[in-house]
Amino acid sequence: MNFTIAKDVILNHLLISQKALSTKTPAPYLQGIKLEVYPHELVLITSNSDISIKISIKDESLKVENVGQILVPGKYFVEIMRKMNGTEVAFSVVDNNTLRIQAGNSDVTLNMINVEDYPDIQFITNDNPIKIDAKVMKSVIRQTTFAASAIENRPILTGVNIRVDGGKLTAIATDSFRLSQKHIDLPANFEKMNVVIPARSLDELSKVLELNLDEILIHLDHKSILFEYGNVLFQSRLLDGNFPETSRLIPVEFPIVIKFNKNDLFVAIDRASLLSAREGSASIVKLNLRADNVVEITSNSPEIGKVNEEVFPLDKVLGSSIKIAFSAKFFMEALKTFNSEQVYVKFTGEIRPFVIEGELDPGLVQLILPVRTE
Amino acid sequence: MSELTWNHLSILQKEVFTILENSFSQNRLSHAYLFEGYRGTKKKATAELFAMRLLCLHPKIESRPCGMCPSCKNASEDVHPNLFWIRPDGETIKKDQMKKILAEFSKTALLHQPRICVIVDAHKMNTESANTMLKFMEEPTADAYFVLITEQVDAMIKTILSRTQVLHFKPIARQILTKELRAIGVSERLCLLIPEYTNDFDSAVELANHPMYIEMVDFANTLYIKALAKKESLLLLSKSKKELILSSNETFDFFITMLLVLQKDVYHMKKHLPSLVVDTIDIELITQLAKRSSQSMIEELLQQMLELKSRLRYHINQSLAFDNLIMHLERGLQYGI
Repeated sequence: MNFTIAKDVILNHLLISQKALSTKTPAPYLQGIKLEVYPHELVLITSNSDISIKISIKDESLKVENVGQILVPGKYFVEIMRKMNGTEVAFSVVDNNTLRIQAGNSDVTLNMINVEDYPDIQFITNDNPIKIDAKVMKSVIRQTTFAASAIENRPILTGVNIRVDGGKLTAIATDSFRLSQKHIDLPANFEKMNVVIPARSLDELSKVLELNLDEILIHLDHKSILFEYGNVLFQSRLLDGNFPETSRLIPVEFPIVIKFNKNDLFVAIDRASLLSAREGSASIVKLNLRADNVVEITSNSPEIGKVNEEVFPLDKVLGSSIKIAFSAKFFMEALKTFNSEQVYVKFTGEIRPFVIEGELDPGLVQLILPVRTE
Repeated sequence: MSELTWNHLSILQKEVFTILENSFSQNRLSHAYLFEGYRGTKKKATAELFAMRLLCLHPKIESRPCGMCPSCKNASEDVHPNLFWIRPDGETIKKDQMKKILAEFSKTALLHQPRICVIVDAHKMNTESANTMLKFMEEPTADAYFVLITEQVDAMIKTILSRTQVLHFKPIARQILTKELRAIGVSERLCLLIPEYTNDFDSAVELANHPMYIEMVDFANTLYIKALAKKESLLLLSKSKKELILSSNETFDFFITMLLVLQKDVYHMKKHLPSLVVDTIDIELITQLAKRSSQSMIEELLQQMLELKSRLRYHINQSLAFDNLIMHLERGLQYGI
């Protein structure tokens, strides 16, 4: 195997394929990057078993003398390419198991891994992929993955449920204490689909979606999902099992609706959560809608102190007064997903889940379960 | 290559392979198997072949893996992403290890092939990991297989046992092992004696090629010859070999086992059961010793040896125990006291 290519071209692509490079896996072959060289194409394959990335490079700077396939230790290969000077890099295999890399003033030999150990990962595309605006996809990911469960007691909840039905796509994530749901309209009708994608895979995908491309194509197979983004194929495994039915969890009628300025509400809760003896999601704040239509956010930990914040609703509040307690972390994370300046918080009762919606965020619903305090 | 091993193993563990082959041909595989039997009964090798057969891209009609396709090769080199081996991490199999595997099985496979998880020394699962495992066994995913391997089936918790198909691996017959050792050119005495110590073919070969073990076998024989001759003190004679024999627990155990075999031979001869004699090379020596010693003496010596063998597990003074054993041997065999 023998080829040369512009350094920047291979480096930029390596930085993408690096996202699927595993550092922790016990399998040494998955710590490698597989390079497949064809007459006019260089293919990079990486996988950490959860996600796999295949990048096809057809650049005019690519000059292939001999075709072949090799597996190189990923971490070192990327670091070498990063630090190389010179504009062109030449690769050649010597003695069957070492790769010689020449660029600028450097001459590096790198021991390779047996390429036959690498699993034969199939990247399955189909004829009728779903087309979505890449920016929309990115925002769907940002608005949902945070609500997926971080603990693996119920593995299915560590994923985001994506359903396509007719011209509509719905993404839902829940850790059974809160739920995030986003509907988007698709440009056309597509085949039905109902899959659960690991939230971590989607987070990685969102990092890959940095190139300035308009569209992302989604190819679904019953055992994997593949996102096609330009010359990058990003494949993720799916979570096996049935995602809980969530449609009935979201209340339909809300006797109490309060409209807030998002930032005012956010900072008030942030300050109130400061004096909580408990860390993270365990810090609880109380929201109290007084009869004079002012909202109080309070938290009280006897051993530290007490905070009392007043927030003024933007419009006249619908409904009667209410006292409700919830996790400050969940509320703030949910607020962050909104692009709107003004949000509606809708309540059904003091021990019933409540919902946050935004004026400029159609299709986005954040649902949080309250905490019983007394 | 693997077809050879499959043929070979299906002779050693006939019942197990009949069951497995039938399950494959009738497509009625269980999602969890328990391979149970003594050390050296080829449980791990069978598990490996079982995995290979499931992963093989072109299995033969007689339900054997081809051993040639990339999938078979990767499975046998343990680099197949759908094959997982779990071994005890220290003394036990920890809950984290089980959780990792269950997280893996909750997702679809990387390669669209069956997935196999082999748990070695499954009895070393602690309660938490066993419970984690149970949770999975109650709702198995499609195309996922577990193979549990254990030498102590009684130490497995019942709820797991009841959810697996238990396959019993019989100890490999001594005659077969003797024949195999003979086939690779091991000297006759070692061929006869080593199978008394281990049932495992691989470790038997290792022992037969190790000069230290060969020396000990010869020395055990020498002791009996000198005891018959009554000319030298066995205690003084054993001084030179003492360090070698006591170099580790295993070597001492091996040496005592060799003495036990010889002593049992004497006992069987005394009882007029020559067909049970193992070391048939020096049958004359055995016959004479049997003639000279009283039955109670022979039995007492046997008991001494057996007791010492079981006491080896504790922190005993091995040097004293060794001298004591040789002295008893000297008194018993030479002077019949």
